[in-house]
Amino acid sequence: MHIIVAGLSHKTAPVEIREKVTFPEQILSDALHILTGYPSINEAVILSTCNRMEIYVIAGDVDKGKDDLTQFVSSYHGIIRDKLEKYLYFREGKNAILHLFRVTSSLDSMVLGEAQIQGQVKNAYDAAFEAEATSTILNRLFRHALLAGKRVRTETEIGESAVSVSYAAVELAKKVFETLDGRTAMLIGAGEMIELTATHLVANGVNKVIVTNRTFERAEILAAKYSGTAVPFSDFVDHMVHADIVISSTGAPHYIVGKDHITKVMHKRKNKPIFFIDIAVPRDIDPEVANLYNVFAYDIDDLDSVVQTNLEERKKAAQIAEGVVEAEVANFSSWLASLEVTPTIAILRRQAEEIRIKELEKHLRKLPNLSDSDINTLNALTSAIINKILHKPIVKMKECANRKDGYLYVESLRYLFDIEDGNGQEDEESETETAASFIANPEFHQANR
Amino acid sequence: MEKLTIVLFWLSLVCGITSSLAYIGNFAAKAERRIHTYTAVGSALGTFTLLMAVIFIRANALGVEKTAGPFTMRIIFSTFIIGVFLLIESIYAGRSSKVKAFGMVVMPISVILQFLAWHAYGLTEKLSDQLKSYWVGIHVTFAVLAYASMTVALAIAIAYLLQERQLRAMRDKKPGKIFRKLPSLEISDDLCHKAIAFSFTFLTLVVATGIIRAEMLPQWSMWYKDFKILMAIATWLVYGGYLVVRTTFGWQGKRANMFAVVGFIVAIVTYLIGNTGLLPSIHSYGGGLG
Repeated sequence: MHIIVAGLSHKTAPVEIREKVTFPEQILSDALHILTGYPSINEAVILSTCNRMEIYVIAGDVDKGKDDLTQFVSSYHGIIRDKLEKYLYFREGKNAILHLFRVTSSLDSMVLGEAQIQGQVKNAYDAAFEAEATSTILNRLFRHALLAGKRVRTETEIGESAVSVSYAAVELAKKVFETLDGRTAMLIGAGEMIELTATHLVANGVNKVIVTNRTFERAEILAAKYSGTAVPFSDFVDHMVHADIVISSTGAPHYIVGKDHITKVMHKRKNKPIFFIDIAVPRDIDPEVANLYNVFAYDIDDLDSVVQTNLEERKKAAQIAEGVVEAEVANFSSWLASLEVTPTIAILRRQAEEIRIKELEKHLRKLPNLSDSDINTLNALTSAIINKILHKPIVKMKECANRKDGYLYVESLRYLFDIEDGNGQEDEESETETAASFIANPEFHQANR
Repeated sequence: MEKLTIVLFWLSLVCGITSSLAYIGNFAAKAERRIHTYTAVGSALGTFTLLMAVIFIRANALGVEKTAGPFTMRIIFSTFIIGVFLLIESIYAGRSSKVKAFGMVVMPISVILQFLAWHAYGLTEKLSDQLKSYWVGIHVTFAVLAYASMTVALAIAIAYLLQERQLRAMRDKKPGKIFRKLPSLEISDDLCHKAIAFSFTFLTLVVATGIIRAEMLPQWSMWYKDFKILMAIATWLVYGGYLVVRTTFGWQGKRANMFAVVGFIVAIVTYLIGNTGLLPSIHSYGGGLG
């Protein structure tokens, strides 16, 4: 049993390929059924976001699994195999586990530390779970990955601070006002940047929006989106008295909000703090405004410097996060190793043998007059009993090991016989190739193939 | 009984130091750990309770008269600072988790006060007949409460000024601990306002009870010429001024917080007059009683 991931992401494939190879929610269940229909593939989860498409599978054989995965993607999306192979990457065993954990923790994202990916991984897993495409290993793997992602978010500052201009604006506003709940925002201009920032503000609690624009109709359209009010461009300064946050982004070639305007506004506001964001170039708001009492004004460069510092912070946090992820991968790997059939059987045999010898010695002490041949007979007798009893279950176990739900039997066996130890005897381990040996030594494993 | 109070006192000191370290640790750490927060708040609460116990057990065993002295005064001060801070933190916990950053200043101050108290342990005050009065007891307790909340207000005002300085220079100064760990301007401003309003209430009562007591005694009838009393009235005026300009001129924000800092300086001068003998005053009763 091997964990394999095949995928393509913003790092390996251009958008022309990425937009073709997607699995939207509607077709996901269908795709998962086709995929698990391949004989080599036991379990599967498909993660498909705008920046990456990854398929996680449990396969009986690494090469066959990889081959089937490529075949599946190329036939499902009608892309020539040779072309597809250029962009696909594969990871297996421990590297696949590490990859998923890093993806879930947003360490592999285009924007380091972005929060969406965790939800996307969860949705992908839920879809696969509902389509009954997952079983013991992938269930455990994805739950563990989500847990690791959560740990990274709580124990590091990776997602703490804003890394886009509009988020930075919200973050700064929240340093002046504790919350944006119930605040009023004024939008000067009706462009795309204004809309993006306004959306963030509204999402953070701003509940009244005043819009002004040179063409009044566009102001009205935008105002309707946030059920706000539109005011004429000629006298917007009069309405600024009610605004706590002012965002400006017009195409005006010169300042449209001057120091005198704001002095008047602040007088009427009784110096209640006001917050300006000027995202226009050339600027709309006279920078002198920032020197007024209780006026906090920022331009695009201020916001950008916040974003740059925050990105550096995230990179530092990512280093700590890598440590957390590695610990979680080790944790998962040791559980995975315990699912192997061969070491489990070895331990079972050893336990039985230990009991036999102990009991035999105990009873031989009570029978001091036995001859050597008698003792040999007793030895053979007890051995035969043990072996006969264990024979059936062991044969069945070996059979089950190759079935999809084989792990369930291993787990039950370990539970019933109270087998705690993760590894069997050393000589037994080399008997067959196991995922455990692969995890312990992937290079050796690959060289053997 | 005295042994018990000493043990309790040292225990409270240990709690105070633990709490200070936990608050500082939380501020310095990359990400906040819940265990640090619990330790910090729990130990602060422990210090508060233990010091309260020390005060009451001593008063009970030795009698109020014998406990009056710098040791008791300083631990009462220490207790009240923690009390005011914990009160604020619990009220604001739902609005901003960053309010606890002030613990980083408040708890060490309380620890220093405890050390100062220990330094003065055993110094007793011979109370003159004029001082053996409930009026004086109430007067002194209110004074300590007023000073304690002033101290907390000062810490908040400084935090406000630092945060505003950071916010006004985002391009030149990288957002660091101040930006991330101190509360927003709105919260700091509001907290400072409340702490000062609280302090002002008790300051008013202090001045009032003081004057009433002075008027009762013929030998204190010239109280309005006393420097300490005059300074106390000046402090009262400054803090009163804070409250007035905030509402009438809309001086919330930087100016109001500057006022809070100035007010504290005046208050410190007032406090020192009685204790150092810098200027003659009827409050000169030796180490730290006034």
